[in-house]
Amino acid sequence: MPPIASTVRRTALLLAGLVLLTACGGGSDSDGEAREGAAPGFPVTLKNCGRTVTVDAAPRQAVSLNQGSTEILLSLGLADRLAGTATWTDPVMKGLEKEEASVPRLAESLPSSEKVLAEEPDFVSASFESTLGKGGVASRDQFEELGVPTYLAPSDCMGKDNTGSSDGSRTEPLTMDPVYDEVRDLAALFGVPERGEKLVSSLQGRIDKATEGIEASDATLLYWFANAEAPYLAGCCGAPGIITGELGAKNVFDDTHEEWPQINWETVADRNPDVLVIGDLTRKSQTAESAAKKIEFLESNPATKNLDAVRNKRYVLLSGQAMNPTIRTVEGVERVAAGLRSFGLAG
Amino acid sequence: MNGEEHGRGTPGDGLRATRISREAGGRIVLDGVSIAPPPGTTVGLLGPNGSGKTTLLRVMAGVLAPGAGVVTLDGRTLAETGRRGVARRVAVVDQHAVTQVDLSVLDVVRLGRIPHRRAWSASGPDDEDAVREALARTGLADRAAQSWHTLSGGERQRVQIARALAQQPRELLLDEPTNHLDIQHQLELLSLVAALPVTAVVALHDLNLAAMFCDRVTVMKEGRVVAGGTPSEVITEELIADVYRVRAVVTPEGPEGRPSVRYLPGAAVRGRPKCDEGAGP
Amino acid sequence: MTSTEHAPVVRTEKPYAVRRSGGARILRDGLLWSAGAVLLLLSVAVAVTIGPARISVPDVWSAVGSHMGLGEGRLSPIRDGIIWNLRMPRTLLAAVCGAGLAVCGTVMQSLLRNPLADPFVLGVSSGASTGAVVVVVLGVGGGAVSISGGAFVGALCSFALVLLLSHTLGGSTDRVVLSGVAAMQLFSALTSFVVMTAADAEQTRGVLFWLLGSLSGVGWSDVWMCSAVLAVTLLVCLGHARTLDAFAFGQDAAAALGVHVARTRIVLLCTTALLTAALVSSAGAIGFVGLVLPHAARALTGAGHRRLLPVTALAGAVFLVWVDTLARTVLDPQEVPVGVVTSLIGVPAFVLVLYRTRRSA
Repeated sequence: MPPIASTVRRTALLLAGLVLLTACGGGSDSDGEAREGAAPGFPVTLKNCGRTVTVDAAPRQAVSLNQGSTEILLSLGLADRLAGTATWTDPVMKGLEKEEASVPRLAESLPSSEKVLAEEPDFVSASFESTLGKGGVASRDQFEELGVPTYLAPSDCMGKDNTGSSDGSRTEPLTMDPVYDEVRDLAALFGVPERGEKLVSSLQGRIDKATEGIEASDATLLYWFANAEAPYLAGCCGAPGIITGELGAKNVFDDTHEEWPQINWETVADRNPDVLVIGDLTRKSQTAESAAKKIEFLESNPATKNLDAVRNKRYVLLSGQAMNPTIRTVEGVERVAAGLRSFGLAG
Repeated sequence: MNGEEHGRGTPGDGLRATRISREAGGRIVLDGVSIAPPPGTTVGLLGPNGSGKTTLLRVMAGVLAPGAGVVTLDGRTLAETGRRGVARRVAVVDQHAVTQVDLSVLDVVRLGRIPHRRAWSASGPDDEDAVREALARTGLADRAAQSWHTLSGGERQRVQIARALAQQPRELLLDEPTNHLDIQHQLELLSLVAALPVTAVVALHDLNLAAMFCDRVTVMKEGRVVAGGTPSEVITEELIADVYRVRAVVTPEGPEGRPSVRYLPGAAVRGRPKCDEGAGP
Repeated sequence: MTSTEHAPVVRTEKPYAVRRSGGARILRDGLLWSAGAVLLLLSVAVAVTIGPARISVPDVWSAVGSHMGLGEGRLSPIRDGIIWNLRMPRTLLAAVCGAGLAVCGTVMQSLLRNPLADPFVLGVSSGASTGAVVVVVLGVGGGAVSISGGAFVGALCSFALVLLLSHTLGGSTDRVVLSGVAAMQLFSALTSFVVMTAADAEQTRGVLFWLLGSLSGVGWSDVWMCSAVLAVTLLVCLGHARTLDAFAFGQDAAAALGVHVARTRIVLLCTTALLTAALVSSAGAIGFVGLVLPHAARALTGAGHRRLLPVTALAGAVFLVWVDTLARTVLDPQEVPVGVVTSLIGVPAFVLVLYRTRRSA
């Protein structure tokens, strides 16, 4: 069929022309920056999620791929060392707005690996293992091949190398310790260990103050993250477990080891929690994201409107970040404690 | 004259089926059928639906395995000859050839050269010659580029015959090739087949066509051969009544010395038990 | 009433329109292959220069050249890594996957006589998904098995099930297709079950991204492995090119043309299943390539498999290289899974191909 062959030839010539055009068009500079020599206290080496992470000098072009990690770095006053951030699920923590504004956001959700590498980072951090794996940005191996050290929040890989059973569930409840470890590790890697200690102490102080004199062993809590029809509720041992643990209260789903199982409202009604801790999320990817919509659902849905907690409006609103194992979990402790006190359940 | 042969015959005997039996789904489809078409003749295979004609042709082509009995080609079994060997000698034309692929007439006829080419070899001049001759014989030379899907039923049958001819077979098996053709094309097709220097076994429904074009005729009923011989010998009123259960008038010396059949409408004849044979009209 | 004259045995010397002498046809085929190969090379060369990181074209090619022993690179290690560790393997694997999926699709459509068949009709991709989620979500294999490894094993299990089922049910073509459908449903259900009951939100997102077909994060080992399997498969399929032609009118017609139907079916099904499993375990289930490209290639070259298979491979390779380039740049800074883009493009492309060939009934 001769016409097709000539079409093919024409297309080939056209493409060749295009290539010549782009070649003549030129591009931008593509030189990298020279690296610093080793500074005092460096290199820093530590173990992280089954790997050894070594940093030869304090990073100056770090990229933080998840909000939790970003907020730690900003709280440590390291905004000037960040080249970019990604994956923002909630508004930035109060008090960090100015610092955050000075750092470019590479993407509102997951960026492509090339986008991250285009910033020529000398350090990459993340809060979730899936961000640094298949289906995420790129694997830790791939970053390391290019000489970029990576750091993963210890709270997301604990079940995986300690207990060996990685079925998406935890066998023991989380505490704030992995978060404090994360703060200390990042501070050490950036050469500012004293700031790390300061942040940890302030967090511990806030928790002590919030839980002072609380006697809440009879109070039962329920944590609702998202989705109205098949709600994601907290099991015993994820970040909400930190909050529950610090307050000495109970989670109605303490017998469930999954981190965020989807449970139906009938089971909830059966267990009749005292207080409903509700996620106030701003992203629109599931139904019932904002707290207002969630409350509207609770008060109109026949399965839930007769719950004690709903009739007495015992709600505590938390940001999404507070329900992840981050420094904002402390915020969660504070708000739930305040809520318990106001509902008269704090003993 | 059932042509029942013992032994496997000798080279030069062509395609023979000896005491073929086959069952399907608990039913006996073929029961001890033997057929040995003399080389170069056109043999008509007659019988009502369900008599086993199609199955017999498929067994003879080697596409179906018989439950019992053996098919031989020049004295060797089909298994000994090998599939490619059989395909180079025996060509089959089915009732209905259906395809979804957008093929041209030339593409279809070229399929007939497949048994002659090895996997990695390119087509040679003998392939082109065979294809060209096949197209010429079936009068399709000027339609070679036409799409299969734009052909009528009769034209498709002709293309399939061309494909069979491209195989350069010595035996040609046709399963009711005239089924959806109009009369002109039925006659043209059968004249073509009869004129070919191949041994042809043609399953037919139409007794007149069989009488007109076949040198020999084999009649099947319920999986068995019930008659075999020249059309004049075989096509009789008794046979038609017995096998086809209709009444007819047979003129033994019709046009060109071949019998011609005229069917009589009216009540179908009930099958008569064998001991009643001989009771005349 | 016409006469019963025998058909005239006149040799019409009028040549039929499409016939060419052997020499001319070989020359024309040679031009076609060269044009296709050049197009593919150009596509790869251009695609490697495109991406979110702004790297000029001369720098890109000098980086590529430096890795192939031609001269020194002048990029920083990271930017060099972007070209050589990210874009190059990805583009090459896109070409390999495109070629492989298109060829498998062609073979499936011809062998199973179904114009809607694609490489995943035997449940290979569903099995791969199950294998992948079992490794990622349930942690089977304890970290020693990668997601690709799990996917590959899953794919093979599903194919084995299909073979077993179809053999038990009689082994004919439509039994094979039905067994494939059954396996596909079973493994899809298993995948959903595992994801719904055991995966957290982040895992689910990661797995879903992979399931939709994605070339992000592939490395050179994937390229070598898939290229090797593709080469073997192409050889086997080309060797069976005439046999595939013979299947046009059904398996009985093929048998009557001297084809060993059962053996051919097993060999081709196993070969294509192996290639599909390898491709899916590296890059997820990229849909539509195996369905649409065979039809497009047939519209270009006709139905003869000796020409159809190489043309399909080239067309598939070029197609997926460009689609992947689109997938990683259109929603910058995010990446769209390439399987999503192939479907979005594939549907109108399919309609177009069907429209152009509508004259055939």
